[in-house]
Amino acid sequence: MIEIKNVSKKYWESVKALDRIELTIKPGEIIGLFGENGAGKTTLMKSILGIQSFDGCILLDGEPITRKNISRLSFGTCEHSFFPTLTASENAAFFKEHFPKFNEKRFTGLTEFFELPTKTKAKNLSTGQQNQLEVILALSQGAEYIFLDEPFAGNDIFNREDFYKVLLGILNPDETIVLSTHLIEEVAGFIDRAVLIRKGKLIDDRQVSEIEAEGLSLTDYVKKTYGYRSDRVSKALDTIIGEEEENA
Amino acid sequence: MIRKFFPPGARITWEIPFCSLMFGFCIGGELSFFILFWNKHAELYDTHAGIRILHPGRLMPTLTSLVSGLLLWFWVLALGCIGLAILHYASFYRESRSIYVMKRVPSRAELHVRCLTFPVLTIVIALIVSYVLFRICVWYYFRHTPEPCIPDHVIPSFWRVLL
Repeated sequence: MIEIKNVSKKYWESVKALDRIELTIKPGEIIGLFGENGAGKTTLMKSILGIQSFDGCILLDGEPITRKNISRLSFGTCEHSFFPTLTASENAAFFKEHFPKFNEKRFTGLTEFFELPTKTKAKNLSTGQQNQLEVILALSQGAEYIFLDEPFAGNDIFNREDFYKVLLGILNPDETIVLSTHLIEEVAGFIDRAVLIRKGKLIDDRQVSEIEAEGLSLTDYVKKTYGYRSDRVSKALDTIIGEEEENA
Repeated sequence: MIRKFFPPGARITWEIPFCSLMFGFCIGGELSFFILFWNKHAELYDTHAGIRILHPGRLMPTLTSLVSGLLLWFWVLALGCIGLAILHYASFYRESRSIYVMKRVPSRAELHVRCLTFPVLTIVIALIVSYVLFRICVWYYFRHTPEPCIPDHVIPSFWRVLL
């Protein structure tokens, strides 16, 4: 279990990227992390993974996350973290060498399913293929907690859907996914729990089953929680078009 | 095997020849001491009717002036290796953020082993070879310079530590 206790992060001493976040991530959960751009989703993931400093405390099964236990966490990011001048096979070989629980069978199965070229340097793959490689490596590392940060930015919808389906099929019961994405509707049938962040603050944390029991879709729930005003666009259009007509 | 001491995907076929070339210049530069020495040594003598006679009062340049310039290539090599180490670290931020993977590997030393081993090893080997050559140069200087031509303070006091 990952326990995030009172975690804050400031940039340049004034900009609050995270503000006293309290969150628990249990084994086997599939969590959707939602929020607008700059809400703090990536910062939270990077803090958990020890990529950046923070104030507060993050524990993995009661222990701080250090080199001793960090390999229990993996990370797939839209920034990409594979080695660009290595091929997919060579990247896998590196993972196999350094992560004892690397799941070669899963890596091979996923690369074959997505027809990912394994002998081409990663930097020469298309953006969609690079995303696939990034996610496949994160899923194959043998980690118990898999963090995916906007992993499919640039992939077509069919590819994304395939990925979600495959993901549900291959995950072991003790594997946890934390998925940050803007594609709320697409992941609605995939996640168990929705965590919402706004301006660095955790504003809501609900089971998807609870949301559905209220008769709301995940998208509606996120919009409602965010206080999204659906009439905002029509009002703006009325104003713009009205002004144009007056000018004419 | 050797790839374990370079960043993944590093252009080893470029880096090793580059450092070898720098190393060659470094050693070559230091070996040119002997050419310089014999040029200065020849100036100590006058030739009369085909006979070489030691010119009274002429002195050999000090060891410092003979050797200092020759170490320039060592410093060039050292700077090149420092630059290479910086490039190694930077490679984990180029075209992707593979540094995130390096931060998750169980061995904390892995990143530094891959970035520093080759540049540091090159500098250390160059330093050892340079030191041995320096000792040989000093020995050679005293062995072949006529005693009256050895200037005072031929070896600065801080050099004595090295000898």
